[in-house]
This record gives sequence, C-alpha cells and structure tokens, in this order.
Amino acid sequence: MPLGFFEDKMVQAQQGDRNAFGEVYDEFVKKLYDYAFFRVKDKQTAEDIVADTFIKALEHISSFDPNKGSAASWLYRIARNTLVDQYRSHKKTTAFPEDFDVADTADLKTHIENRDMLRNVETALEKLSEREREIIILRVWDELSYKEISEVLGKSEASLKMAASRALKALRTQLPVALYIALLLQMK
Amino acid sequence: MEKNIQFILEELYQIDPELKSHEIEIAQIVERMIQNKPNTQLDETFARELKSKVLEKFSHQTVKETKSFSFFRSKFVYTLSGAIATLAIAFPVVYFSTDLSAKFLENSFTAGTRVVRAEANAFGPLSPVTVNASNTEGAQPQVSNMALGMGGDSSKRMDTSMIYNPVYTNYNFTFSGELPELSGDIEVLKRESGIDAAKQYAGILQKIKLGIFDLGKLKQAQVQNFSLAEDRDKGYIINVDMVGGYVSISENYSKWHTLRTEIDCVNGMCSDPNMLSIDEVPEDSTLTNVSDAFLKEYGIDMSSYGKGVVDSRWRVGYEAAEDKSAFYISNIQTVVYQLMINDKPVYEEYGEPMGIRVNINTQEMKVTNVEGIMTKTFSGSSYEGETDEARLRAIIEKARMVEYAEPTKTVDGELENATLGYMRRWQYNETNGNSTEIFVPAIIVEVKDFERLQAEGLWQSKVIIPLAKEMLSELENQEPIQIMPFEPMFKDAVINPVPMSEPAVEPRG
Repeated sequence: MPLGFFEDKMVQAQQGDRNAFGEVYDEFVKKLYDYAFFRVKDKQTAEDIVADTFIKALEHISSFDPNKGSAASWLYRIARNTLVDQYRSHKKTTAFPEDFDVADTADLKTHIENRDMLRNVETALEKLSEREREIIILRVWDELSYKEISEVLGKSEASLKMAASRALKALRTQLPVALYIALLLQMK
Repeated sequence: MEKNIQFILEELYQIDPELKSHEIEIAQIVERMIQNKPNTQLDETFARELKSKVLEKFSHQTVKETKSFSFFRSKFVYTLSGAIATLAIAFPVVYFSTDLSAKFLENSFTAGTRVVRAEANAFGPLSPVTVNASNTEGAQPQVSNMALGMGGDSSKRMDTSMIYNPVYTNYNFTFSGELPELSGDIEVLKRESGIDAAKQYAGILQKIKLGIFDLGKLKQAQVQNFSLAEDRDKGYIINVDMVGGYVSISENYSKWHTLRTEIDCVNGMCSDPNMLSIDEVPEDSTLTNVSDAFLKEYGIDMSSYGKGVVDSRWRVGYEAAEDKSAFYISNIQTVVYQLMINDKPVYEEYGEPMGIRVNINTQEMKVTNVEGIMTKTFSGSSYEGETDEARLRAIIEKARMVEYAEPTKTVDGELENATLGYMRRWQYNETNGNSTEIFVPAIIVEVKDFERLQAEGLWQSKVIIPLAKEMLSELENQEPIQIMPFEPMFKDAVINPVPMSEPAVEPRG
C-alpha cells in the first residue's frame, strides 16, 4: 500500500533526507504546540514540550514504522510522553491559568467573551474523566482520527468511540444547569 | 449542522446509536467546543530557531549504541564476533555506528511494496521487446527424439542414440476472446536500486581501520554485497546484493557434507544418486509444505507473492522420452512464488512467472537455495498505453513467436483468457552500460489446449504482451527467419545434440 505523504517523508528522513524531516517539522510544529498548549496553558512550557518532542523524534527516528501507524500519531505519542514527563517533574496542575494565551483580537469585548467562553468550555471539560477529556480534545481540537488516537493512547478505536460517546452524554447531563443554559444561549 | 460536526457524531452513532436521540444538544456542545478551540499563536521566532536547531542536530546526529537489524524478521541474528560463533545461527561482524544507519538499511530492504510516483515518461524510451527466440526454448527447434531432462539440476544425461534433427515449427494462433479494460495511460514501474544504502554502509565500514589496510582510503566506496553464514550442520549462506537490492540463500557448502556424492559404478552399471525415478518425485503438496515452512521459519516477507507452485516443466521432456527410465529427473525440485504488484501477477517476457524460487533437495527434503528475494521499492511513471483493440489482437496472435521462412511444420493453436498483469524487463542503457528493471502493465494470454501444443514442442503456456505503445511495433514487424542448411561435420559419427542453452538460430536483437 502506498505510504501517506508524511509517512513517506519520515521514511526519507530515516534514509538521511534532512529536507524531508524539515517538511515534517513544518507540518507538525504548530499542531504539536497546540496539543501541548491546550494541556499546559503556558506558552513557555508548551514551547519546551514541542522542542523536546522534535529532539526525541529525531533521536528515535529509526523506531518509526509506517506499517504501525501514521507520522501524526507517532509524533503525538512522543509529545504525550513528554507532557507526562513534564507533569511528573514539575507536578503541574491542569487548571487554566488566568493568563490563558488566546489570540489577540482588536475588540476587547470579544476578547473577554472568548476568554469567558473558553473558561466555560474548560469548566465543562473538567467534568469529564481525564481519559474522556483527552479523547475529546484529541478528536475535536487536535482533529486526530480515532485510528490515530488509538495509536497515541494505545487503546482500541471502539473503546475510544465509546468513551467519547459517554463523554458527550456526560457533558449534556452533568453540566450545571446554569452553565448549560449559558452555553445554549451563547450559541444562538 | 456543519459537515465536520456531523462526521464526528456519525462516527459515534455507529458504536452508540442511543446518542442520536440527543443529537441536537450533543451537536451544539461539539460545535461550541470547535468554536472555542483556543486560537493559539506560535511564536515564529521560536519555530524558526527550533527548526534550525533540529535540522542541525539531524545533520550531525551520532548515536552511541550498536544496533542489530534483520532482513528476515525473526530468524537471522547478527553477532558482534569476528569469528563465527556457534550459536543457532551466527554471522560475521556487522557494526552499525548509528541507529539512523541501521534503519537506513532496514528501509532499503523494507518488506512490502512501495511506489513513489515520478513524472510522466520519466524512464526515457522503453526499449523494444524481443521475440522469444532469444530467451526461451519456446520457439527453439524441437529435438525429434526428446530425451533431455529439464529439472533444476544443470547436468543432463544425453541419449547417445539421439541425432540432432531440428524441427522448425511455426505456430498459427487465433484469439477471439475478450480483452481486459484498456487505458490510454499506464503506469510503468522501475525498481529502485539500493545504491544509496551501498554508499551509506561503505561510509560506516570506512571508519574501521584494519591493521593491514585503511578502508578509509577508498574513494566513493560502496558496499556492493556481503555474505552471512550459519556455522552449523546444513546451515545456509545469505548473500545480500546491496546495489541490486537482492538477497539469496544457499547451502553453506562446507556444512552440507552428505550431499554431493559421486556417481556410483558397480560392474559397469552406474547410478547417479542425484537422479530420481518418477516414483520418487514427491507430491507437489509435500514440496510446497517444505518450502512454505522454510520461508516462514526464516521470516521472509511473502506479502507480495502468490502461493507456491511446483515447477514441473521437466515433465514435458519426461512425457516425450521414449526411454523414461533413462530420463534424468533431478533430485532438486523447485517451488515458485509469483510476485504480485497491485494484486496483478508478474511474468517474465517469455511467459514464466517471475518471483521467488525455492529449490528443494527431495532426498533430504531440505531447501538448498532460494533465489529472487528482492526489495520492492519502485518509481512509477505514466506512459502512453495502447487502446487499439484491433492492433493488440493482431499482436497477440503473433504470440511473440519467431516465424521461420521455411518451417518444418505449422501448428494451429488458440489463445484465450486475456487478463492484466505485469511484464518484467531488463532495460539496458547503452550510455552507461547499466541495466534497470522495469515492470510494464501487460496482457497475459493463455495457450488453449496447452498439452497438445507441448507435444508439438511449444514450451510456454502463456503469452505476455506489454501495453506500452512504444514497445509494440517491434512485435508486429518481425521478418521470417531464414535457416542455414545443417551439415554435420562428421557424417558417420554420432553427433552430440546442441545443448538446449544455446539457441540454434541467431536471436534477433
């Protein structure tokens, strides 16, 4: 079966093609930054995780096997492990800090609304188990397929879908009524 | 509802249909999540500097550990001993200075099939194909008193009563079957060589300073091949052709003492221990079982090959032989696994399946050697395909056979069951003297009532017609061959027959 574009680039990189690895970097640096940032909510820490992820990817490039998974899932798995190491070493919590670094907008009101809404979403996500939250974020924000998520987390696709389903039901039923109404109102 | 949200939900409905009853609310939650995805900003300076740092590290990456690798996923294990160790399987030293390098080789010899697309007509002109006189017995003059064995062993016992009496046969084929669906644009594949790996590994070896010679002094060196031997009874030697990307396995001769026995003569009656009687030939299923087990044991990647089929072509000669007891049946029998590309079978130009060939010593019931294990990394390039059915039918009916101006006889035959496959061809580059392997989409046509035509001297059961337009003209413009008169040098003497490996007529280039 022909390889995907970035899987092919990874194989070329394994064979010593520096530019191929550069292309992989360009594709994934922002995605991995987002992945890290959504979880640590801190610019510097997220950058450190991205840097560590690429350095580890390079050092272990020989272990990438396109028959076992996509380039994306391989890199996300490294990022996830780096994140876990980061938590262990710094014992950081997952709470959103006040200075959550959302993109600037010209409109201060919109900026504040964005921040508030983000906090609402975060509050909602806090109602989920860690695993459910991870799956939902990987699928909805990081836009990984269930196949790729299964490769990152080492779980079956079916169990991930079931967990995602449970998570969405939980979001529907477990949200505080006031928050839920606020969410619905804000959607209109 | 946005398509993306719908898709996210549909995935979940498949496993939890109950979720659908809350679709509106769930969709709103997902939509709200998507809308509120943090709009992060990646610091461009950070990204640029990190890229620079990563790529610099890439260029200078050195890895500390020595790493083993395996072509054959499970069995072969490399040792780090200069002497051959007496392990179950032991090999000479292979040192890899980097993880990257080991992976480089692994990927050069990766399992499965890989195609990297190139631009159209990327391989230049496709060389004209040849008719079968040059490369097969399919159109060779038939020996009137057939007594030649055609088993896997090269030694053949000649019947001294056999007088060379060539029969020049023309075949008059018709084809009225359906043609497969044709395309004006076909993808020709070129197998990539392992030249990069060959250079990479030379670079590694050149870091080793031998006491008697400094390998580092070699310029633009390549590791062209290496061999690994099993130091055990009936062990094997593996030869790896780094440049060509081929691997072959054969007996480690020094460990196969019991085989190679001499012809035994008692009271003037001689018997060849390597010759079988027809009753001693194992069942096909027995041979394929032995072969399959060997390939599995050594973890040889068979994902791109068909099932093993015993090569029984020697039976043509056997059936034709008047004295069957004198017919040489080799104790080496062959099982062929045909290469499949894009689920289509690959054939040699002359109609034989192309793939891995496993030879088995039927007395020991052990595999003696395996040929044709190769990397399957291809470049693919589009070429103009022939879609003119009338032209193709005319070429098919010529069946790539030589035509004699004055045939001894003409045999009628039919062709049937046209299907699609690939034709392997070696393409010679006159400029640099190198040959490359190309695989051209082709029509495969079967010879109907092949057994009858076999008796008339036809060898091949299939006719392979490439579909690349530029390769066809040679096949439709063959001039009949004029045969030089045959005059024996010693009229009253017994004349040895012409060896089957030498065409009796000059092949057309």
